[in-house]
Amino acid sequence: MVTINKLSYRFGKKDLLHDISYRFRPGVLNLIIGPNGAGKSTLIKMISRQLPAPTGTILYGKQPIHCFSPNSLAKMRAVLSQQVDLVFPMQVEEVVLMGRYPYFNGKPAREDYRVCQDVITYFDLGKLVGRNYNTLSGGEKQRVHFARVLAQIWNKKDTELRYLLLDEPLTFLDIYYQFNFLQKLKELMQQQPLVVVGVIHDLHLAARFAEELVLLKEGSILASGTVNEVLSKENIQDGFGIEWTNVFTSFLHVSDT
Amino acid sequence: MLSNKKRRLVEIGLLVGLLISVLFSAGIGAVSIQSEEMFSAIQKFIQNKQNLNLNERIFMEIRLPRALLCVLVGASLATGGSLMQALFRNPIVEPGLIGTSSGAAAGAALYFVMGAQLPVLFSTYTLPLASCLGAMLATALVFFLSSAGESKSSSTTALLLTGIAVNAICLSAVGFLSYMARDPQARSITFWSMGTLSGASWKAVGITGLSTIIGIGYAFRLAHPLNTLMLGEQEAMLLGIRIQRLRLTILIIQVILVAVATSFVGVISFVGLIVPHLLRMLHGSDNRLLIRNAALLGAIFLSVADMAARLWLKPAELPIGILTSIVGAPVFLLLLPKTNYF
Repeated sequence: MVTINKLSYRFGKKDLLHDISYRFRPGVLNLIIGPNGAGKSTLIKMISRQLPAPTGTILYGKQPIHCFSPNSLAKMRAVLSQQVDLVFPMQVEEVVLMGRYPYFNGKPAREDYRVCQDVITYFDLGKLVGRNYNTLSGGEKQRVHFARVLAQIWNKKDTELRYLLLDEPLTFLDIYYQFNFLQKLKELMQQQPLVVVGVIHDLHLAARFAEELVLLKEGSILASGTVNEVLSKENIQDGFGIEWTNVFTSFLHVSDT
Repeated sequence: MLSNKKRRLVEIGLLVGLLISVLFSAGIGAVSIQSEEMFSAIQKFIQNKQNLNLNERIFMEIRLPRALLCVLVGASLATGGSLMQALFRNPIVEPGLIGTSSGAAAGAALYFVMGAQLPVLFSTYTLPLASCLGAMLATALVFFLSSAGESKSSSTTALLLTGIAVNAICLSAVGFLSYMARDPQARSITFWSMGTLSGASWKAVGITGLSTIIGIGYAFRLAHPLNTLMLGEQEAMLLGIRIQRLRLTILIIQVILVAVATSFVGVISFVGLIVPHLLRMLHGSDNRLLIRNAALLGAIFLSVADMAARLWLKPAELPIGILTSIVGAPVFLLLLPKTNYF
């Protein structure tokens, strides 16, 4: 469970987030939607402690996140962001192994190699092993990154919760990989205890895959709840300022209210 | 990209290459020294006998310290270069970037011009001390100026820009001092900024040896954090790396390695740039391999360069800094189109 309580964030004179409280439950896909500048990425960055939280609290379970050391935080929460490029060439399996860096000093343990093998199998990356990361296509790179990020919080043994945050990870991917990612993610949530919170732009994908939606507008929560509750005619018009009928037909089949 | 077996092979090759180049650089020169003489000299030295013949004495007092100093300085500069390139995530960076070498040059120039006025407190160490202090001051200045402005995410850029500015200040100080200097002083400044190993002594070897071992030993431990930096600072932080602390640690190691090495031999350019590059072409950019092999290849590179510097215009000696650039740069240009950074 991730609990945020009365969270605000100011940058200069602008209120990016204003008094936000919410609970993200484990085992369900929580997606945050909203127009540009609504504060979605700011919220994800605060939950992942990339940004400090000067006012309000963020709890992982019952612990405020500022209590964790950088290393122990790295072992329990991972962030998948947009495609990352490497400055120097590196092999795919080395990139995946980076996800295990918080766990060892010097030489990787057998467990670390096992986890890498697990995630490589899970994401069908076997064929890419041995390749130079920089020569991969965008979709392949993002799959490698997904594998690396999950290697960081891979947890098959204990029941301790891990936290996975998604910061618009699908932006540069084609529709096949977008579906592929979200499906893999849903599968994984069945197998491992995870809290997943993501920011996504595509309302169709949100409607199709999310269990819980949060609609942000101008730094406040406009609506939250199930897909049907959040993607209502009024909310779409209020939140995005476009006519309901323009989007209506396209995801009619999932949220026919 | 190499398999484990080939990686091992590269390492063994480098070690053998180092051994050979040390033997050659100790043996070749105005007087050539046979390997039997080297062994007997070392034997006598260990048994603390005084009856060394001329060749044995040349070997023990001139050649061997010089060969060892070459190894240490080459290793230091190349390791410093790999650390800088990894920190700045930029393949064109070298140790001079954050003011270390130019600070050393300014310190040395100040000594050459003002040295006579200063009380000679540290005898032969005054010059190394002056340049080492200059290097430390310049690097510290770069660090504090760049971390004064508070935007943590961009402070590597701040470090780079501050480094360029401080470099400019130091180099203009060197320029001013050479302009003010009388002729012999000005010549000393010029020679020093092109580097020379002719002043090698056992004391220099001892001090540089200590700094090299400490610096490189510590650098090994940074391989993992530096690898994560290849993903960008954000991603590195998400993997639990304390960037600010890492940056400071690298700067300190850099000063230990480069300032001390430079203070004994002057400014030797290009080693810190070309050696990590060559290795990246050979086996990729994994810093775990890069840092270790850079020390070895740097040592080989400088030993060979020093040999060439002594032999090219025999009996005169070419400044080694000129040689590293004049040979290194064209080789580098030839190899550049073959790099696969993509």
